[in-house]
Order: sequence, then C-alpha cells, then structure tokens
Amino acid sequence: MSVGSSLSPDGKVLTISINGRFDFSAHQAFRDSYEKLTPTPSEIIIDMVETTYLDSSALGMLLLLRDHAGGDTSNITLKNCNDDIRKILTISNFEQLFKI
Amino acid sequence: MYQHLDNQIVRELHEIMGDDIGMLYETFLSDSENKLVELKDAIELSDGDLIRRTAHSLKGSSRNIGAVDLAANAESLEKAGREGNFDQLDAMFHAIGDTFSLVKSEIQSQILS
Amino acid sequence: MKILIADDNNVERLILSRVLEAEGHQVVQAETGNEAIDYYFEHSPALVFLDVLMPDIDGYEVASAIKKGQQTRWIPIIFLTSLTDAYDLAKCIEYGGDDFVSKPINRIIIKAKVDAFARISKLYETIESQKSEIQFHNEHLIQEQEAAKKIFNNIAHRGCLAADNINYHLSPMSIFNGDLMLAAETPMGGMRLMLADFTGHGLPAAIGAMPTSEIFYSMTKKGFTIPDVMNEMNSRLYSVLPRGVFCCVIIADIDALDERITIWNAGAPQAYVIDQQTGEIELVHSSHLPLGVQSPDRFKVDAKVFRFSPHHKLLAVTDGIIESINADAEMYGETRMLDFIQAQLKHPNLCDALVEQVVGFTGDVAQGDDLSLLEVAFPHQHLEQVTPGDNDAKAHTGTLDSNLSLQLRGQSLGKFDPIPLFLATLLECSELNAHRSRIFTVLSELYNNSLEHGVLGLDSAIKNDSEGFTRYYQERIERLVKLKEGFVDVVIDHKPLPDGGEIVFEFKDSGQGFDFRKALSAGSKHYSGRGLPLIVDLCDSVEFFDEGRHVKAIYRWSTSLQESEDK
Repeated sequence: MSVGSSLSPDGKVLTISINGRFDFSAHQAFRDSYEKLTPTPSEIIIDMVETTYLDSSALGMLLLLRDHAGGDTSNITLKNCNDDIRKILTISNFEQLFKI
Repeated sequence: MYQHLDNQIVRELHEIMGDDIGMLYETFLSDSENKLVELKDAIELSDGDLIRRTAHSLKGSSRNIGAVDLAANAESLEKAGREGNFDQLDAMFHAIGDTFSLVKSEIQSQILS
Repeated sequence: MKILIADDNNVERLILSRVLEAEGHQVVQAETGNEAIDYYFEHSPALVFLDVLMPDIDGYEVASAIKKGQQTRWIPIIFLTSLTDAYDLAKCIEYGGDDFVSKPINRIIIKAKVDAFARISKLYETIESQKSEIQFHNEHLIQEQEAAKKIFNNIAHRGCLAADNINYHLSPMSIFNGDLMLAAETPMGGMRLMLADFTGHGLPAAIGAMPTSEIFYSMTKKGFTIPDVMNEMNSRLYSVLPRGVFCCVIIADIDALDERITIWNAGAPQAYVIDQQTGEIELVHSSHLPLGVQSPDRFKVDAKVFRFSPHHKLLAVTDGIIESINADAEMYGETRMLDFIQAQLKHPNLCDALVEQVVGFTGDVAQGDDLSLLEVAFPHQHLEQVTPGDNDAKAHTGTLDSNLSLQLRGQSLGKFDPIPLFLATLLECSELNAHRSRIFTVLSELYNNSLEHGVLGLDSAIKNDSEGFTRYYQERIERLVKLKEGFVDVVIDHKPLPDGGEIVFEFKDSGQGFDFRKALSAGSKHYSGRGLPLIVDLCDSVEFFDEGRHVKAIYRWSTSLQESEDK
C-alpha cells in the first residue's frame, strides 16, 4: 500500500493515487498528501487505477478529505475504480458526494 | 626491579590492592606452600589427574601475582599430569621447589618488609 | 551492582574482588560450586563471575543450576577460564554463560565487560517495567470495556429482540464492532427493527450507538414513522460523530394490520424480503448515504413498501457476512447468499442456518462469532392486549377534558406527521396508557384514510398484488409531492365520564368521498385495506357524513375494565 500525490503546475488540481489496499494503514499517508497544502487545491482527483480494495475506514478517509476541501463546495473525483470498489461506493451512495 | 616477578604486574597489583598488597602475597605464599605439599603427594601416588589439577591451580595463582617462571614450571607439570607422562615428575618437582624458593625470598624481602 | 564471584583459588578471588570493589561494586565471594549456587539464591546478585574448574562441581553445572532457577530476572554469567581453545570458549556460552574472560584477569577488560552488562541489565529492567505498565493498562482497559459493554447492553438491547418472530445472531463483540440491533413493538401492534453498522471499532463506535438507540426506542413508542426517526437520527449523528465516522443502517416497520413492510436501507448490504410460499425474493438495495454523512437540510428518506404477510420473512445482514473469506481469500458474497436463501426458503431458522453455512465456508468457527444478522417473521398483533404503561402508578388525568384541533393543508400534509402529536397529547392523560395501541390504531387508520383515499384519491384495490403494492406507495409519494391544495381537518375531543372518559375523533378531508356503506358492510378486514371494520370493532360508534368525507368515531374507555375484551 502506498500513496502518491502530485500537484498541477498552477497548484489548482491535486491528484492522489493509491496503490494496493486502501484501508486504515493508509490513514497517515493519505492525510499527509493533502493536509498541509495551502491554499487548498480547487479540484482533487483520486486515481484508483492501482487500488485493489476499499473498506469502510477508506470511506471515512474520503469523507475527511471532502470536509477538508470544503464539504458541499468541494470538487472531488474518484476515477478508475474497479468493479469491487464501484460496488462499495454504490452501496454507500457516495456518488451523491463525489464524482465517480 | 624484580628478578623473579613481572614488574608490570606487581605495579598493577599495588594499584589494585593498595595497602593490602602484603596480605595478597602472604595469601599467595601460604596457598602455594599447601599446593606444593599436595603436589608432592600426588606425584607419589602417580595420580595424573590430581597432579594436573593442583599444578593448574598453582599456575593460575603464580600468573596472577607475576611469578612467570613459577607459572611456566607449573604448566609443565600440568601437562605431564594430563598426558600421563610420569618420567620427569621428580625433576620437575625439584625445579618448581627451587623456583618457588627464589620467588618467596624476593617477595619476603621486597614486598612484605 | 552486587556481584557474585565463584573461584576456588584464593589469590584470584582476592584480586578480582578488589578490582570490582574499586569500581564501586559490592562483592559476594564463593569458594566452591555449591557455595556459589547457595549464595546466588541467597544474595540475588546482578552479575556472576564463575570459574570453570572448581573442586566440587564445575562452573558449567553451576551455570545450569542458576539459569534454571532464574524465572523472572535475567542475570548475566561471565566465565573465568584459562582455556584458550575456541571450542572450549564456545562451550561456556553453550552451558549458559553469557560471556567469558581469560585468566589471568586484566582489570581493564573486567571493567569494560561489567559496564557493558550493566548497560544491558538496565535496558532489560526498562523493558520489564514497561511491560508491567502495559499489562496494567491493558487490564484496566479491559475492565473499562466490560463496563462499557454492560451499559451498552442495557441501553441498546432493551426492546423485543427476544420476541417469537425474531431470530438473530449478534456478535458478542458487537459493541466493539459497531454492530447494533434494535427491535421494538410499534403502538399499532406491529414491529420496528433496525440493524446498524457503525464504522470504526471499539468505544467510538459504541458511543455513537447510544443516542441512536435512545432515539429509536423513544420515537417508536411515540408513534413516529421511519422518515421522522431517521431524520432525527441523522441529525444527531451528523452533529455528534466525527467526520469520517458514519452508520450504515437498515430499518423496517412491519405493519401487522395492513400486512406491509416499510423498509429503508442506507449504506448497508441488500436486505431480503422473502415470500416463503411463492419463492419471490425482493432485494432492498441501499438507496442513501449512511447516517451521519449528509447534512440535515439535504437529508431525505425514501422508504420502500412491500407486502408482508404471515408467510413472509425479512432477512438483514451486516457486511461481516458478505465479506467473510475462506482459505482461498474468496468472499462469501451476495450470489452465494441468494442461492442459500432460495435453497432454504422454508427453513424455520434461516439465521442459524446461514451462520452455519458461512462458518462452513470460511472454515473458521471464531469468525462465526463476529457475524450479525437478523431474521424477522410476521409478528403477532398486540392490539388485543392492553399494553401496560410505564408510569402506571401515576394517576394523572392531564388532558382528560380537552379539545385538540389541527388542520393540515397542501404541502404540509406531506411534510408533517401529526399522529405522534395527537397521541402524545391524549396520553398526557396517563390513564389512557393502557389503551395506547388501540388509540394509535384508530388515529392512524382514520388519518391515513382521509389522507390517502380522501385527499390523494388513491384506490386501495391497487394493493391487491405485490407489484400493485409497491406501485401504491410509489403513487402515494408522488401525489404528496405534487399536492397543491387539499386538507385534512382533525378534531379530537376528550370528555370525562364517571368511570373513565370518551374521546370523539372527527376527521374531515377535501377528497371525493367514497361508498362507506359498502366498506362497512364488507366485514372482511382486508376489504380495500381501509381497515374500517377494525375501527368499527375498536370504537363504540363510527359514523360517516358528507358522502364519506367526514367521519366521526367515538371511543369510550373506563378505568374499571383493565382486562382485554376479546375482539
């Protein structure tokens, strides 16, 4: 499990990628990738092309990110989700909060 | 300074023992005399194992107080006892006795006075 | 440090003890092996110097005896040896020695080794004390958890989980898993059930469970419907739970009178409404974000309604079951679950059978403990029984002599459920507590009739088949949303009588009216689902006016009649 992040040159778009299992062990690394950035990027993309698995603590982490990025005004996209991950997101109706 | 004792070792013992250096050497002398008696008995009995052990002990104490020659003599006897080589025992015993006398008088005159 | 020296050579022993004493250590001297063993256990030194060759028993044996006797502390043993062969030196370590030093002793080397071992001893001591501390805290924590578990059980698990129609399996560690299972009888003689799964583990999850269960039990008792209860729960959890923590929930109301189940799934795995006769299985998917995520102003509940008769069953699970894995890291999964249900349709205890299957699948009995699931069959109706009140001792007549009227118009009809209000007001007269269920039923039926059949113009005949059922409730929602005009007018008049009281319920609606004579004469309680015959049974009189738009029902009660009459 590893977390990588890159910021666009103009500092407006943050891309965070998660490799492997997205679970509680990713907690610190995930937070570190966005917490200290000022100003907060206006758009955030979570790339899950290498993510194998998502559990409820991961959902919690996404909520924390959303809250940090402005809650209802946030603009977060979850992209390249595999079928299992999509399923989990569907059950929790997270498409109401994130772009998928 | 000494002929039959290692100067370095004696100096160190002075530092370690302080005023009790005399007590140490007195202990050495009485212990060694006992050991020599035991050794004589062992030789008479041709008890190789007892010879080995007694000589080994004498070797140890000798080394500790710096009587290098004495230690060497003891080592030979120790070896003979271990190997069961009883030919030279009497000769070796005499040698040890002589060396011991020399060491003893040096100790008595230079350290214990 | 206290150091034990075992050496039969007086000269050696003397020198070594002086060297150590010069370093500030306290020395205990032993001349033989046996003496060494005795002195060791008598003085408990922190370090031991052992001569290998001693007259009685050799150093190796002494070392063994010491190490064997050493249970709790680690005491380093340093051999004194004149041997130089590597094999012999290694043997020292083999026999329990921690180091060796060659003779004649060199005081610099002795000092260095003693210091090194002193350092290691200290480290060891630190670890031991930290270990004790950790153990202490751990025990403390376990005690606290036990206490929390008890509180949790008292608060969350009152209610009717023990009822005949319920089979359940709840992990004994549920408090720590965040699993919560609640069941309560509704005033209308039905049952409300909830299966919740809080994310996170341990106490934070359990703490979220407490306001949740309080809300569940108190609001259910007062007659609030699922949307109101869920709204309240979501608001509370939204404000109380930290941002990343939320609650996946399935909640269901079984209405024994109208034979229907209202069910809502927010974030939980699909639930199953099973028809044991036809084999039809309705899957109830999650249609909403879990509780605690959505802000109250954006929160909306869209419950689904299905037919639920005595040959139906509800099965709800938490993701523990779906996600159970076997030795090949395969998940049990929803497909297997569905197959299982279809195969075991008529099984009297699906719950136990399912747990057994999952345990068989994973091959891990301990995992079986961690599963939470709920199986509910048709509940008995409780209307016949006079429900005992909580404060029976208090004879407080409150609203015994009162008149309450409320008119709900247009959009308010869909946005406010007045039944809990009416019930609460009437029950301020606590002598009415024993009649709670019946009064609730009368209120509910009359109001729903006025609203659904009157104002919204829905035809109950639609409800006769299972598709129609769903369609009916769908229509209900749609029409309520579109409603611009219309009203329901309610007047509740309560008057005292010599031995009790009389409640007059009057409902007027703006609808088209209906053929009430036909409804009254039908006799079967399933006629168009109006439940009118039941109301007629419960009340002393029921009259219709204005072509059916106006109904007046009189309910007389008396304190002398505490036993239920057979109805």
